[in-house]
Amino acid sequence: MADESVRLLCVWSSPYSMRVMLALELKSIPYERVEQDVRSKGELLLRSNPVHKKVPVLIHNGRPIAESSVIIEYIDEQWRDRGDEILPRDPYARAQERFWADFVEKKIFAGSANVVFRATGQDDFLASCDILEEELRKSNRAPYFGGAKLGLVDIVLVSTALCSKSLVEVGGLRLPSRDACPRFLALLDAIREHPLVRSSLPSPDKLRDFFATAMPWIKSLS
Amino acid sequence: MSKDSVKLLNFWPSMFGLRVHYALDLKGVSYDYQEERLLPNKSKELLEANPIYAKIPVLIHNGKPICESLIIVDYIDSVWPSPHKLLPEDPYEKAVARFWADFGDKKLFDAGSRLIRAMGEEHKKAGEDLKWALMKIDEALGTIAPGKPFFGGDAMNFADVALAPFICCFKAYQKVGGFVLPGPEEWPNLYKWVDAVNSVDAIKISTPSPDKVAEFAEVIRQRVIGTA
Repeated sequence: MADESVRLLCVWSSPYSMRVMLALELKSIPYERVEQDVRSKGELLLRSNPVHKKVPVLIHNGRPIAESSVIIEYIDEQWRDRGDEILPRDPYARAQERFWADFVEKKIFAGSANVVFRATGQDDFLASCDILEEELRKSNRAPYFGGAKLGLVDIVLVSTALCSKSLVEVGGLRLPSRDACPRFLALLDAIREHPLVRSSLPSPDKLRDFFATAMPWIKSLS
Repeated sequence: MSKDSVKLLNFWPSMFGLRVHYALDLKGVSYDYQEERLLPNKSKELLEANPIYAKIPVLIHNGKPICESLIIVDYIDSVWPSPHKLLPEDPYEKAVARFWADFGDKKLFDAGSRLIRAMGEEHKKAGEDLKWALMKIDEALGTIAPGKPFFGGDAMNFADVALAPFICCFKAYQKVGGFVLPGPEEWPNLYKWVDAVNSVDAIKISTPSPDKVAEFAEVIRQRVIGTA
């Protein structure tokens, strides 16, 4: 690894940057965080992601990869023999993990954003939490969705785990109650408490304070 | 060795379902096909196979369902790696293929769908977005595999399979969506890619006729206009 260059173009508060950072941490990949100013996009970002012009972008030995879901799978494959596997090797188990990661992104994360930024979908969001709760109950996955260790779904959920305080206290999102979704809420707690999450990602309080000031601008992006 | 049971639940106009057809047909996997009539009610089998979304396509392999078209194609490629591997072995090339497949979902199919369903300003924007997306694909083909017909070089790969279903919709986008398609002088790589995809025998097996797709798009648009 000594002669490898791994740089991450990111924004500390970005939910998608957080997911990639966690994946890198899980694999113990040394990397350089290159904080971006998305209000004034630099030449490196525009050159590295000319199609979407967004963070995060991973630049590995000078070659850029964009889109967090693509980056995370790249990290898992490129450094297959380092750290824990992010996705299972079995094709069916892998398909299931990807399905639930996609569900979390579309229905839980984007669902929560709809409530806060478009003032719609609160009931849909709660219904989606119920669906995830049922999957956790049926499959007995604990403490993480990936079982004993964090997997792809947990990585995608880290954005919700860390941003939920912001979305609730500043954005007016209603989370399900502990009675309704005990496993789902326990999963978010477990992810928040994971040593790598605590040591490398922003705290819910820091995000909440940022969100309170940045909310109008973030709203304008949606 | 017992035979694999492979079944595809789909609805013929679905571009997402067509991706699964292409993956199976390119690999010569035999499968049962079940046309799902989604209206007025979804079938019991579909609801059991995809209880979360109740959507097609669903692949049922030896009784186990797999949902979401790109997840299905990835699965097919893992279970039946040969012949015709769709995802490159090299992690970086794999990431490039995945990026363009994802681009298809986020920018191409979305714009196409809005072109058929939207009115007024939204419709105009959909046309602009579609043009931009096709331009990006033309550029990408020139960068990723210069001088070669496919994203995968000489043969279709994961990105080609993800984007190819779009080709049979061109007529619908023009006739029904009013989309004006720039010519090959403007998008040489895209046109070469379309010709190359259309000449692959496996692709011809399941692709619906562009006329039929245009007819179906007309029905959808009339429904939208009717409720406007």
